[in-house]
Amino acid sequence: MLQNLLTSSPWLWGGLIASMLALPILIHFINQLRYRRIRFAAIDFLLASHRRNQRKVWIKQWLLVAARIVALLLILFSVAQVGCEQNRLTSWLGGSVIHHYVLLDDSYSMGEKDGDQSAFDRCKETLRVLASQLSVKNGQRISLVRFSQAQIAARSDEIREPGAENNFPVLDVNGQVIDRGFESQLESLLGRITVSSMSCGPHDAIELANRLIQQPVGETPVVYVLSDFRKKDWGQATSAVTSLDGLRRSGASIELVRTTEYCSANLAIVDLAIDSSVRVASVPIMMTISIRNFSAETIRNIQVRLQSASYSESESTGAAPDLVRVTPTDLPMLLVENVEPGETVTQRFSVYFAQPGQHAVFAKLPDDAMDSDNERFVVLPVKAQARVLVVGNSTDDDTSIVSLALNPGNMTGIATVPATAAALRDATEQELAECDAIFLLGVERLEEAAANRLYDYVSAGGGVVFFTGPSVDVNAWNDVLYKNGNGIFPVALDSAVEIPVDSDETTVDIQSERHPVWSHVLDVKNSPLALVQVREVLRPALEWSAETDNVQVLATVRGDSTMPLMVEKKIGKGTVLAVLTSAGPLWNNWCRNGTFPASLLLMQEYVGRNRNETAFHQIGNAIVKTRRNPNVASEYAIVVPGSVASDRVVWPKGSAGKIGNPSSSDFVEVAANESTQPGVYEIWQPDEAGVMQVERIAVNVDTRESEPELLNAGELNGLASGATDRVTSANEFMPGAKLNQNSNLTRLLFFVVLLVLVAEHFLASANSYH
Amino acid sequence: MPDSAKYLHPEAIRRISRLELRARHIVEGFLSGTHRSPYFGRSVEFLQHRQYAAGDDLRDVDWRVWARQDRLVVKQYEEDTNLRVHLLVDVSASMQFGNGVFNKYEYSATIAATLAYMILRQHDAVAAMTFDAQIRQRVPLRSQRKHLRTLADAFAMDHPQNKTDLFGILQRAAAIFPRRGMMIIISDFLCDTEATLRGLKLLRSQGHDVLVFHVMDDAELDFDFSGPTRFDSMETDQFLRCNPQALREGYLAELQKFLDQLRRGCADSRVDYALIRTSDALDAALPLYLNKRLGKRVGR
Repeated sequence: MLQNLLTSSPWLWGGLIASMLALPILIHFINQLRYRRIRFAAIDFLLASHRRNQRKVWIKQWLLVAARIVALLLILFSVAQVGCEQNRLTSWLGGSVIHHYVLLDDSYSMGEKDGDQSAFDRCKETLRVLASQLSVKNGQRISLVRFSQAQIAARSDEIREPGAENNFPVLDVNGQVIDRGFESQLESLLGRITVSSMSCGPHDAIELANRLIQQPVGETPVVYVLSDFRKKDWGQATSAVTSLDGLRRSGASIELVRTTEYCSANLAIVDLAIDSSVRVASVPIMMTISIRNFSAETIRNIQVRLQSASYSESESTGAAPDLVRVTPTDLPMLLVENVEPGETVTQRFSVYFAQPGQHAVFAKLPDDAMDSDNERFVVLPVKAQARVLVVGNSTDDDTSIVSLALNPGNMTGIATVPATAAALRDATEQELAECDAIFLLGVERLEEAAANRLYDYVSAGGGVVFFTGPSVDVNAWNDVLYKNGNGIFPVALDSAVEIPVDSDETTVDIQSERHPVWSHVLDVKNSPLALVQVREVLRPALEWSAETDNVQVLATVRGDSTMPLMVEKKIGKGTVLAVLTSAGPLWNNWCRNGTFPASLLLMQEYVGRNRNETAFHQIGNAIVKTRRNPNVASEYAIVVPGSVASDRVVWPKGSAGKIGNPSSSDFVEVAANESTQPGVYEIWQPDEAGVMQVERIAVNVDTRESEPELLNAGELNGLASGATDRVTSANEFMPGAKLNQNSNLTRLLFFVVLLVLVAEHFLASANSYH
Repeated sequence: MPDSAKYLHPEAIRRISRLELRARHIVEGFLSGTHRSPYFGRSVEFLQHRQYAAGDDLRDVDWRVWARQDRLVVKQYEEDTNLRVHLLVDVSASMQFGNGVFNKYEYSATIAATLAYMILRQHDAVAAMTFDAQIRQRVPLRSQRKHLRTLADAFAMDHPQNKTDLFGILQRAAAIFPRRGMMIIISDFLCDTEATLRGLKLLRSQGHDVLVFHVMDDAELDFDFSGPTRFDSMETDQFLRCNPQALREGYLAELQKFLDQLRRGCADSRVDYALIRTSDALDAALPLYLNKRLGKRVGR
């Protein structure tokens, strides 16, 4: 309380100093007035002595008064620790100022509620307690860093080099000298900061603190880590343990403050994915949602709210971002009957968009202890039609058969583009890129350029399905397409071989493996596929081995491992399927079988899935997109989601480049520190024609943060292995002895006070005051 | 500690209120102590025999005469009745000072009475005079033992007041006591030292043996005062408000200068000087006196 008074106002300070000055003078005059009377005989000698020593006595008396004033002022300054905030002074004295580094875990798990309070609320309370204690310890310093900010800074490389002037941008409070106004400042800060949506471990924050600790001279660092101490972040194998050791080596004493004792029941959407690779308007698109139960009890009857946001094409090009207004539409609610503890349940559902465009789908679970993982977003680019290039011979009907099978009755939304091998040779990269898949149907040969183009297309994520047939020039295919295993075709061919006719019709010619392309016939009794008769296939060369070429066999002829019928090869990001028989009826009767259209569609979807795969963006990572038109430097806009999904905040807003300032002329970037909100982001930028185009990106939380396992007491105590380390609970947090200023200034003041008091004693004795 | 010392301690003596009894007690206590024999041998010059009378000390009886002639006679010595002692006791206001059991006046009166008893006990004649700036009391020269009461009453009656004018007093004493004798002056001598020494010299010039007992209080000699104090002069209107410790060193230096001057002046005039503290045993003056007395006999 006294120290509060001392730091409360300059007037009080003035009054105290004036009192310290006046008191000894007052005492002096009181002493002069308060005397005893003695009738003394030998007064002549006394008078003589007085006459001779008058000046000396006067000097002694005022020296005594001065000594008392100095002693009182020194005691006052010592109690109030005046001067301790002067780093230079303290350093000069060889002492040190305590610097409190508060590392605040603000990952979204800290939002887990326990009653009315979340773990993050308890963090704030702890900070208030600390600030309250520190505010009476004038001259100490404090820095505050949130885990999320440290992680963003580490990823963005925003931290300046040690010794660089001024602050790190990531610090909420950077080495601030604590004075009487600090509590109100902190209150204002705590009002602004909330728990983030990020999953961030302590490593970056501790490393940042370690770097900060090593900068100032003459400071005693005390590091407070306020966290829920989840095992995934703080387990023995994590980098946090090593980082803490680094802190200790830097001379810091560590106080681990646990804010959560146990985890509440929590459900999380761990995945929201598009199942269909054919994503065209007016065709149902299958999606999956995965819900994980992070609690210890079975949770039943979970209602999942699904919403879609449909953007028309007209709003995706040329429109001003500010004007785009979309109200999400509720989809039929999904009911999950129960999820066992620790289990993940995946359910499929379909969405339907009448118009092409970059739509979005949102899923939301009912509120529970941890809200951040209850929501998930996905962007669903929907085309008017899927484009499939069908390259065949002009001499057979395979092209028309496959085209018909891929879009029976115009129901699949797939637009097939018939082409010849020569056209493929002449196609541009851009033209191929627009294709969702390419079917090559028993062409005689491909030129080297066409083969290379196909290879590049697949490497970039495209999908190619090969059918063979009697027109195939085996040697040309081996030379140009197989290329000893380095080409696009997965099999070294030998020659065509006839399959003997099974007169009993008991043998199934196409023996399929368990694979998505056969999903329509798997586990189906009396599958129509059994009726397919394969009369001829191209046999692999004897020296060819599926394992050597890293090729997966998806089907064989009658189960003969030396006679593969369908194989798969991954090249780069793309997939190649090769069927070693004809697409048309020349070598089999598959095209007349009911499974043929479904098989083709599944093949198309399977090989085309990579092209339609939407990039998964996690909160806290920078979103970097290639500029469509580097020549137009400034015309871009970025829309970030607001606190609710429907909010739209557009940058730049008058002040250019607060966010989305291109990191170079080649890229547009949503900086890491601005992608901290889950939802759908939009990057608007002009294309080469100068027309604004939008690209939507879904940003979701990292649900690993929801893992409920906390360090137990023993493990937590194991973390605090330093001699000066301490583990406390937020409810019991008291900074205690660590607040004491470790400053030689205080010690010096006390030493000087002692000297002055000794001098005062002698002076007072000499002046008959004792 | 010998018994005499214990019984002659001021604390003990103060319980005896009557000065006469106090003097007897001191002298008897003194004589019963270790200092007796050096001063009361029979080496002094024999004069004659006298018929024994009641009250004579049996030790003075000449037992040889009794053995031969069967009569009691006492021996008488030549100088026994020739010594005239004049006690001059300062009763000025400064003598009122004292921090101990006795103030300077009480102490001086006590040792004056003690000396008187001792003198009368030796059948010498003793006169007394108390003074400040004036002569306050004067007791004529007598050698009877009952004279002690008169003397004691004279010492006890006076209450110290006024200033001291020792030179004037000594001048008058020289005039009043023209016959040679022993002058015992008991005072604090807090007056004009030069004048005092002149007065002493005057007495010496008239053939007096002068014995000076300089009585000072412990507080005056040690000056152990502390704390803010106002010192008021006891004889004048002067005062000083000061912190005594600050002036102690200077005070003691001035005091020492005074004592040295007095002691040196006495030595120069062949005046016996003794500085006595009021805390000293009350028989402190007796040895000096007896030495002086003995020296006088031996010197004859």
